[in-house]
Amino acid sequence: MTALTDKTLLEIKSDLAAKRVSSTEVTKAILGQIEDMKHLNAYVTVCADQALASAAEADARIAAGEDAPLLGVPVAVKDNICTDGIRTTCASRFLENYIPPYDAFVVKKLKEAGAVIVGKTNMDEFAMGSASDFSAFGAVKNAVDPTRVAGGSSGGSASAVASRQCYAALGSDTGGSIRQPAAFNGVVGLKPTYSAVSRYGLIAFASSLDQIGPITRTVADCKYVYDIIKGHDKMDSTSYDGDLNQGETFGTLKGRKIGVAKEFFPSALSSEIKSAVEKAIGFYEANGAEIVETSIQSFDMALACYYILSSAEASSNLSRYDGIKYGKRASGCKNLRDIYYKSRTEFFGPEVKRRIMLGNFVLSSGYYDAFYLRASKARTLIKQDFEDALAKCDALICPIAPTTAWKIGRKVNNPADAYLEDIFTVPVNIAGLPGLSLKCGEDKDGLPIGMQLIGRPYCENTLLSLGEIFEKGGRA
Amino acid sequence: MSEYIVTIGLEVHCELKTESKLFCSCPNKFGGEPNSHTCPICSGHPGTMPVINKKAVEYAIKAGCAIGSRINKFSKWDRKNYFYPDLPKAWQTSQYDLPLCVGGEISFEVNGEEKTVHMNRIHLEEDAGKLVHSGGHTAVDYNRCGVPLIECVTEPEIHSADEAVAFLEEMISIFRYSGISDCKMQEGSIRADVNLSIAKRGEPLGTRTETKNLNSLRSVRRAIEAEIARQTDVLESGGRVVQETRHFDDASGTGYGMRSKEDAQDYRYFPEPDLMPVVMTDEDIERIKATLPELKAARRKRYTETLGLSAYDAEQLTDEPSVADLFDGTVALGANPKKAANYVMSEIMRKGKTEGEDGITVGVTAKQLAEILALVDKGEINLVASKDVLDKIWQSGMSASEAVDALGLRQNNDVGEIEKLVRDIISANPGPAQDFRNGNEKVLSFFVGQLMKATRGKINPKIAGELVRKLLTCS
Amino acid sequence: MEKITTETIRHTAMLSRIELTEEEERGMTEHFAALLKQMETLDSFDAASVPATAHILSAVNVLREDVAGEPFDREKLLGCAPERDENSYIVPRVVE
Repeated sequence: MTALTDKTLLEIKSDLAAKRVSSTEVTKAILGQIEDMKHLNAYVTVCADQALASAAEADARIAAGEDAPLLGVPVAVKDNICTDGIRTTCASRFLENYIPPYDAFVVKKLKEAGAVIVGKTNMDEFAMGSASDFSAFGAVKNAVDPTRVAGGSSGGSASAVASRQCYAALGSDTGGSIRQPAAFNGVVGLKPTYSAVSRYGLIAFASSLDQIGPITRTVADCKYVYDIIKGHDKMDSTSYDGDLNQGETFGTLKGRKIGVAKEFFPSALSSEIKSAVEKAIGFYEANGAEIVETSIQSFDMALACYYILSSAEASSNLSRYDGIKYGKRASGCKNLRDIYYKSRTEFFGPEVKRRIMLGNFVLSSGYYDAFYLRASKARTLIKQDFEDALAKCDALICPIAPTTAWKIGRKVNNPADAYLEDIFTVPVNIAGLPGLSLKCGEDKDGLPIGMQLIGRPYCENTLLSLGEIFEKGGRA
Repeated sequence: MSEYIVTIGLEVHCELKTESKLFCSCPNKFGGEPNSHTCPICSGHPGTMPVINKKAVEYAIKAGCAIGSRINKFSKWDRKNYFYPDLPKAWQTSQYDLPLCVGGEISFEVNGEEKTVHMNRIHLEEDAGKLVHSGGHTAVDYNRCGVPLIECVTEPEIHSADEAVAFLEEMISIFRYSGISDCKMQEGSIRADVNLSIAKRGEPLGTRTETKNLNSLRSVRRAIEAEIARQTDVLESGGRVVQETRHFDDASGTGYGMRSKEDAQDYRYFPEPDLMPVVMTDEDIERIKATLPELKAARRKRYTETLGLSAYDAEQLTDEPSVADLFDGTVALGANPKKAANYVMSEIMRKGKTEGEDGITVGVTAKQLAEILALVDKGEINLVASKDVLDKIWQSGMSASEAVDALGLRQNNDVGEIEKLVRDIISANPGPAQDFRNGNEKVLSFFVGQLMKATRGKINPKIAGELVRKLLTCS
Repeated sequence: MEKITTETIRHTAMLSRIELTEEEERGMTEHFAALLKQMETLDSFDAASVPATAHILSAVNVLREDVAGEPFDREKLLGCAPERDENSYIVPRVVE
């Protein structure tokens, strides 16, 4: 018999609905697993008492014959998504004690669906990083190999899902923060189309790029959670008010076109990763899909474009942390200047400071045109290139990252080099497109290799169908 | 001093009279306990997002239409970034390169001459909070955070304190008539920044200073006068005017330089990613324009040219939009314009001023007032009694006839009854009666007065007067 | 691309309200230099002929009706503040 914690979300959901198991039992099993997996440091906050109370409530509702999409199912939420009454830290010392006075839209959606929120997952501070090691609460460890990083910034969510510490977790993705950690931990991650999931209550990093999405163990679970959290929200002016199911759901590859852009397979790419993704391409072709050659000529500009735009927005978004309204204030502040300088110097970590500095630099007088404005124009070109490429195919396929999970503490020569980690994921955020990350192989150390499927706006179903077919074919 | 030419540009911030704030549904209300009109959005909590108030956009466009601006068909939002405790997000959501309204002009009279000042732009933005200093601390109140404001920027075409004040008076009148703002200076709902430089005639413009946050016409005048004097002194003594932001202290009547170089005025404007642009079609703009009422200048002209009122009366009647609206409504219902004007200027304005706190509170509708005037005209009540009727209406909201009946004031026009009363009053006052017969005509009004007193103004004074004369003459 | 000076780093730190030690200043200077090198990839197109994208979406006029809502529980907001009194956030006296 499969252990409770080993079941997929859909399996446990059906067990709960059929009363084969109670939510209290399931929640206790998950809390036990969280305790056992403490060394992975996937959670910043575990809310055992609230979780057990929600589980008891769910059990009562199930007993009364009620049903809801996630009734009684334990899930986790990244710690940059506001939860009313549960502290939300963004893995920053600045917000170590911040208890939001409201729920994010997605948290409301989870609660309405009957979910049991077991805790808030660890991450890179303010979602800035690719390894979840820039956390004020210590690095998250990879569920496959705890000596390695979990990826980032949603490393806690990915590691927690992979190590059975919840059935699904929400992450956020500004430049790959859902997809890359999902790949590093061998699970499934979806970055939805920009505007498909409300950002209300997501603590902003880069508002024009941020998007919330699910991390799960299977593609079917991913679709299930995505369908719950997506939808229009009048509190988010950028939330899409149209058809979110513009992509088809299908079970066979006949007539499907998958695009391969040469820029996504640079010569420097490791042969292990290259061959794993090529094998996936081979799978699709062998099963009836047509492989189309495409090109994203502006691919080279994406990284610079991303770092300029995301840092610029971040510098503004993070100016509100000043030690006045919420969060911490440095001790011994004698005047206003102290409040700003001392608090921000003491409570922001080094990577956050670097990005704030970069953002203020590219926006500052004399540099705006050369950096911010030019990046906004590059964005036009990148968006256009993806539109053109996706006009010729249903989805693009490429690697998620140029490497697999590296050893914790790996020395980086310069923080700028670390940004190269994001080259395959950031273009998708720049273009606002959906991206699905799933495992397509393992390297010689047994570490998961991830591939990415990129689709047209609001065509998540296409990606999920492609993902599900691959997942089933891969298993068979 | 006259050898210097003064050049002034104004930036006027004017709070819009919406029900809710610009980006959240907190009430847009003056006063209240500190932070009682706040929520996670206007307090800048992490994760919150703004949604634009439609009415605020319409009001800003309406302001532009009122002064003849071109309305931008595509307008967007930008963040103006700076740190200050009254700004919880550390940026002000504003409009940088594509404001809602561009250009326009305001004409006004100053010292008997017509003058026109061109506008550069009007944009919509959010207000900041309030700081209250006491002892070693400053308390921060976010009630005003997010209140919609329009910032109206003039071209540097103003050349004296008189012009600046006359311009502001006209702008205030236009905005109040348009119904977009109360422009209550004492509540801080309108504030002006003064950009001022001086230069010798024929020389290029001098270095300008900006005196911020002047919240009364008096402060604007005093601040301009003080700054002209200061800059003149600096130049006369061979110094250079430094470009800086200044503050004017009302109590001492002097200005002083404000910010250190720490703030360097680099606002790092960039497009607000959380707000989508505003796009207006010609039809949208026409629809908003159509809601603009006739403004003060046009009404003043119509009152003198079409209704035949004096310039003085026209000025009096148009001072307060609510008064002008009442007057227009009353005339539209058939009242004689001159009688209506006299009644509004004497009774309504007197009463509105004594009862209201500031400005004029109008406690009657045009319909009620037209009815009072019609009753007076028909002789059903007299002017004296009409004041009691007005009071009653003001308190109770009943119609004029209801008030007349409730007060028992309907005028007695019955000649037989009045004659009986006249006989009584004559026989009760034989002395004055004799005086009349001896040729003292003045005594007539004494008798009428006595009659009015005895009947509490209920009889028709005209009929009474005629009867007194007749009976005194015959007997 | 121009050289990043300590002066630029200090000015940027001021805009950011962050204090840097001398060592951090040096590190930041190097970091910026490396980033600016990466940013040269953006020099490959003619900026004059390309419009900027501020929003990836095409939606416009996302507006709400002017309706005032229920007041929010002030205590819940003030409760988050590091320093407060009965009804306000408190900072050391601000001198203008």
